[in-house]
Amino acid sequence: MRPLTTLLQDSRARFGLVVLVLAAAVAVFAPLLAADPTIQRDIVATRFLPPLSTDLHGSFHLLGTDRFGRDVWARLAFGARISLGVGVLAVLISVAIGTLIGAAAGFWQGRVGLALLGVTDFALALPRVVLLLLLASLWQPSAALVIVVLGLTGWMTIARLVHGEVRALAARPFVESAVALGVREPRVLLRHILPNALTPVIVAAALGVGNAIMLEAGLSFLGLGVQPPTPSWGNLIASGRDTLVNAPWVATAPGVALVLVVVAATLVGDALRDRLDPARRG
Amino acid sequence: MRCAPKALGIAVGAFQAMRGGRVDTAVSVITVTLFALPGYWLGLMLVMVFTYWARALPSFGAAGFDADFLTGWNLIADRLRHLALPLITLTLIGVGGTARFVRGAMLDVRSSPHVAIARAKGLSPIEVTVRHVLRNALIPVLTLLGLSLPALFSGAVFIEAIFAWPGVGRVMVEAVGARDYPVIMAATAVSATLVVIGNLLAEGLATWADPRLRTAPAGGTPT
Repeated sequence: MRPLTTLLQDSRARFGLVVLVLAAAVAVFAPLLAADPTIQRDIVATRFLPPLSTDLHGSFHLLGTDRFGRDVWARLAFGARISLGVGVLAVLISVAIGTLIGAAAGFWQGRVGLALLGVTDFALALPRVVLLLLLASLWQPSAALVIVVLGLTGWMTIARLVHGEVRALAARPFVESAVALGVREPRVLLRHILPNALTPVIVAAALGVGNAIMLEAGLSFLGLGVQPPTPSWGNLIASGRDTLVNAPWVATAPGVALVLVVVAATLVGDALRDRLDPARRG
Repeated sequence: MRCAPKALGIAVGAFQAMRGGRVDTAVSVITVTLFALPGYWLGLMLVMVFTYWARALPSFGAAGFDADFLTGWNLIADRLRHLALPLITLTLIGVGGTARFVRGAMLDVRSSPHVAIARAKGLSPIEVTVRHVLRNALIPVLTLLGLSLPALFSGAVFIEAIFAWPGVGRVMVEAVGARDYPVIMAATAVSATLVVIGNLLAEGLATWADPRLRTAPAGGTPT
């Protein structure tokens, strides 16, 4: 528990964690906090209501309504499920692939390592957004596809981090002694090296979540990600784009939510790095 | 056009690292927010403020409808007015990342022995910062600059979509929407080539700026 308490002494981390916990709570308890956004009643009477207004049926709209009379707060809350879920799952995939490839490349440094590093550098050479567009163009867009695509395009930096770390650790005496004791190679890698190499991965994951959420929103904004009517923060912004003149709150609310969550994830990542990275502690 | 955010970012980051304290914290709040701002959303907000509210700047396209009839200064002014919003958006979202990076690099360099020696020699704080800290801190930034060459291409995808800017990014997005595979492949190939050129440029620049890399034995220094 000690790392967590020292982390909480950092005001950046406190702010970031509070925002992230709130966002996660909204996502999890969305059905309790907001009415089901798929229920449609009187479109004409309830559309384009400004924030903090009450419609004819007596229901209150915290963030107003969009052009179909749907409550923006409800769409935002249910969109948080998609956006946060996609971000976290995509980063998990990236971390799994990146750790696997980086660890293998760092541990078996001969041909295997070179080949894996070559693949990593090749994948790193392709600009991520272009790669995302390319992959998104091959299949029907959906939330699952976005998760896989983001996961498959985000593992390279993690692989390189883990590779450097594992390579440095493999030369350390405690690894040598484990090998001398007759411990088999996979076990050396998994039990003795990897647990020591995970620090930068945690930091990269925290920073990656914010990035992934932003990219998901970007893809959905371009219409290549989560498809409406399923709400995601990206397609919420996109749907508010056409009504920017008469209903600016439709695009503003999800954007502010997005910025808050990405800032929070970045701050937590920064604070984690300052705490965990011995080179930066000081 | 892409140099503006980098130069501004370097200046802001250097300023932060030099000042420290409350000013640094306050500016950090701004840079981390800029870093987290999605370009397409910032673009929308700017359109809302400058086009719909202030009615000052055009919201989309590279030229007005009457561009064909404009001549001389009017034509240039028209182009510049159309360039303003996309350029502001790109600059704002680019500044955050660069400033954060430069600040971190400068704080790292500042604690190294050669800076202490420079200070002990009695050099003025400005001289120490510019010649001994900033110069060393900028080496990784050069690499970043080379690597961001392909971002010229991909980073502007969302911005081009917002402002209906007739650029390669928009061509690519439209091609994806239309399942126009040859165009997608061409755009990918061009950007991959740019990446390789950017990497090469970054390596070259780093070697030029950092004598240590020149004298390093073949195979590079171990990390």
